[in-house]
Amino acid sequence: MAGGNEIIQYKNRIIKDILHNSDSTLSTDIVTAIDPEAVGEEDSLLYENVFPYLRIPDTVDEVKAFITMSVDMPRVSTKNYFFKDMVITINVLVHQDYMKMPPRYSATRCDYIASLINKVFNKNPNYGNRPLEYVSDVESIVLNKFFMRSLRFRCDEMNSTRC
Amino acid sequence: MKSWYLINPPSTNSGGFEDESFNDYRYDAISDILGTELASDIVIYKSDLSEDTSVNVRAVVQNNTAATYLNAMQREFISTPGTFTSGDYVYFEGEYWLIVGRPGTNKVYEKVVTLLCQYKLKWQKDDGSVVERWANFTSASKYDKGEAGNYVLYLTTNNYTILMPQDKDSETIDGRRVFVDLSDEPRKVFRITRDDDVLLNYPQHGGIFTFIASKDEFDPHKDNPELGLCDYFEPFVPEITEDDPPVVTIDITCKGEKMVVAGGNPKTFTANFYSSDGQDVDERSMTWTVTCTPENEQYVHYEVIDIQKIRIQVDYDTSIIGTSIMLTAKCYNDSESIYVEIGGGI
Repeated sequence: MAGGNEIIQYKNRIIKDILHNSDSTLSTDIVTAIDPEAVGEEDSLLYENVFPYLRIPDTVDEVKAFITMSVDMPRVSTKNYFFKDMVITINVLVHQDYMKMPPRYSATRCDYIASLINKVFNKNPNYGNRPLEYVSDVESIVLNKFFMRSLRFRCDEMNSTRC
Repeated sequence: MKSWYLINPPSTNSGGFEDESFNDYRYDAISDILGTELASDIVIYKSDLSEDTSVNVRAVVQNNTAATYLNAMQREFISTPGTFTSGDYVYFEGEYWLIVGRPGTNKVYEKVVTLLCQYKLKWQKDDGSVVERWANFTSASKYDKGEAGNYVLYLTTNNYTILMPQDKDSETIDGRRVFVDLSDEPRKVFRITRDDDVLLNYPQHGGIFTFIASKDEFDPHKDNPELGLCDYFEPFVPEITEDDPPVVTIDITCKGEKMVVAGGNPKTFTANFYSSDGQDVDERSMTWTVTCTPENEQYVHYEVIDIQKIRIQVDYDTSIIGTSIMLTAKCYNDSESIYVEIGGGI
């Protein structure tokens, strides 16, 4: 994916992997957990519940679940100048009143969506030169009303296009 | 020729003491005024607005031509002593005014301070019944910009101080979520986060509850804009049909959700009986049945601890999480079954 527009390409692929994964069950499960009414209309979640950037732009006045993301290139590889490190951050945010799931899931909604995101991206070979590496998965609280789980994945990418 | 006469002739004072004279004439003054065009017809309602307990009275209205918009939401009413109680509503000029001050008297007349009720709150109690109360609202965050957030998201903010009559139903609003929204499809939800029951409590003259309502988020999964109720749930109504009237209607209840945690504490379920014809039900005729799949039988344990109560416990096993058991209570020829889900602890 080298060539200078990796970040754009990565975000497009991330959105595709979440909403239209080759394993359709995985996408259906994610969409169902975010908004069951959007099953079959996955793209309607884009810019409503799934944002290709970190911050939810509009003031939230509804009990909802969100996914936000960022793709960063924090540095050129310390091992080899021809590679650069890429870090994908995916945040799962769920309102406290939406955390509880039906007993059959035996999980909170935030943890459940995060586990599906992990299934989608952990060791995913479609990014960079080697499969995505699962770096961290941290829970935090946002504005006392939203629970957030922040997942990070890492890979390396060519620093410039091949000649 | 028409002769006129005095309706209420003054009492004859032959004692010559000042207090006797005062007591004899003090109510005449206010009674005379209430009979003139200076006074208005008002209706006093108890907090539930029941017509049965409403009273039509005459009262003099003060401050009806206010000079500021905030004063325009306040009125004082004057009538004979013993007329008013704090927490009652005064219906005047097509609006409800809440008596917020302690009624006071100067031995001639009684005067109360009222505030306009701008909005009728509506909520659902634990038993499913709906309570409605007119209330007075003032901003508790007047200069707030209406949103607060950080680098991740922004939420709406707003706070109201709400005054409501002091009664048993009003106090059940504490902690609940309510719509405060005049639109046809309300979306602005507030949570009652503070309950002050002593600030405006007048032990011998009624009282007012003071609440703080904080902006909350609309929940499309639980809130019902059509009914105007947040966290709405279908109330239990015993089914009675005319053609084949059941002898007994049974309702199985438990604390919290109808779920047992695998590997967790035992959960107690209670069967309540409702007789369609008002007859007493002999609870000794009741039996419990627990039904589950053959694979799950080894994990499910139960004990009838009282005729009406059964305690169910489920051992932990990953295969049983997400399944359910059927619990049936039977009384005479009637029975009620519920599905009890088996959860994994979260």
